[in-house]
Amino acid sequence: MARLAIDDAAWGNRWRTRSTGEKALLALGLLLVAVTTREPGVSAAVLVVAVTCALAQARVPWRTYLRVVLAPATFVVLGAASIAVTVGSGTGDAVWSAGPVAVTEATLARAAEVLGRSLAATSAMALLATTTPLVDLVAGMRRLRVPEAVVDVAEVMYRFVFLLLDTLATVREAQASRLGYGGGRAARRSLGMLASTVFVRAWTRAQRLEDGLAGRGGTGSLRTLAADRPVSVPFVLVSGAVLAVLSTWSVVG
Amino acid sequence: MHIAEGFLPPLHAAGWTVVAAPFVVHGAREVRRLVRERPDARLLLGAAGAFTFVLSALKLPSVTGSSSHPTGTGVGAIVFRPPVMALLGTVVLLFQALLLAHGGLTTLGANVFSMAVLGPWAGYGCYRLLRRAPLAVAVFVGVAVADLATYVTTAFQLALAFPDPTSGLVGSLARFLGIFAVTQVPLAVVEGILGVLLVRALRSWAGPELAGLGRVGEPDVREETVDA
Repeated sequence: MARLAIDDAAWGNRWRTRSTGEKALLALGLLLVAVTTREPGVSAAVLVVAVTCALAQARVPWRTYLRVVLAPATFVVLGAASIAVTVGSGTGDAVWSAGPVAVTEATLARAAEVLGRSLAATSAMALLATTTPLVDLVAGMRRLRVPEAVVDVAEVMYRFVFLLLDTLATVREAQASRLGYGGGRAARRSLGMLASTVFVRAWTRAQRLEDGLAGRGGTGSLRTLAADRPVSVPFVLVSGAVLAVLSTWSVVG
Repeated sequence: MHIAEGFLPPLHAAGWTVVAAPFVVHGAREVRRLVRERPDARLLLGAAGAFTFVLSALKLPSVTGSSSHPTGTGVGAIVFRPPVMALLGTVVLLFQALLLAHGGLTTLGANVFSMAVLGPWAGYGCYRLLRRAPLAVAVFVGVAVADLATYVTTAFQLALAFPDPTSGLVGSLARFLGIFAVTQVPLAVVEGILGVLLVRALRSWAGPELAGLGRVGEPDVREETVDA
């Protein structure tokens, strides 16, 4: 069965049995603070809290967590570099310049701010992603009155993602072993075939699933029994306190 | 091209969420109507969403050697029509953020607008305009335009958030367009070719499934796809 590192961590960490609500409160609260703050100190504090919770408390494998935090690195570094560089005249306080291109203290400060904010926000999002399985979050959305049809589509999607990743890997291996990726032309043809095979498989599997459900009289949504996970009062109090301190610091400066 | 978590300033992130929300709500209504009419649409839409997600695991042999991947929104818009794609795209972006750390929750609104709203509408519009052209041309242009429109929108969102201190919005836009053109323009071409191959393969292998597609998405897709 195909696996995704983040999904593995989400099912196997120590916070698995905590209620979705309390984890979401902490992680989304940290995310909100990280995005809205202008204080570098607060960004650093969010990063420290998120990393500590994920690695020391929830025991998420550090490699997985690091990979999540570094996943958007290419985009963030390219984007920040583009913010740091300014083109045009009137660049008086240039730190570095070559012809019309210059790096000024102001643009450098802005790029650093964006880098810090991205890093802190990603670490907070990673805390949620690596401690809470996606199905729990989808179930949480159902409680938040997201339309039933939408939640159902998301639940079916979660199931199908892993089936299709399996199909993808198998077909790809079969193609590669027949030199399907030997040259540019063959590779493009193989990719087209790969994509369409996976699509047709997805389609027929969905239809077979539907036939199976219809045969058993299933017409409504595919609800399952959720495990009863009481909200931990100490956890909520501590999270609330941490968030209160961070947001006060962020506002007062 | 997904904007990473926390990259946009809070006001911009909130603003794009507000802009994208009506399209997503409209899409959710469409999906609800579809599911009420035909309960099997739920599973088929789930499968299509999963397919779009899995496509992003397909690394394309891009010219620059970077890891560009297809967005799948162009083909999705042609097959399902843009409103349904707006909702499917939103769920896919949420999955990408939480399962692949690709994109983000605070930038979800901005990404939804560029990738699940504007790209699909632009691609679908071109596809419809080219109704009289050979199917391969219409699909290629539709898919490539969906990609390019997404990329230009993202560059515009970034330029709006980070205008250049001296040359302003225009200078900044040119820079963001330039820096990501290296990966995004070849990607649009490759995904356009892939889209044509996908539709061609579907036509030869998957007649019944395409008939199902027409039923779920748009009644005239089947006629167009089969007869063209």
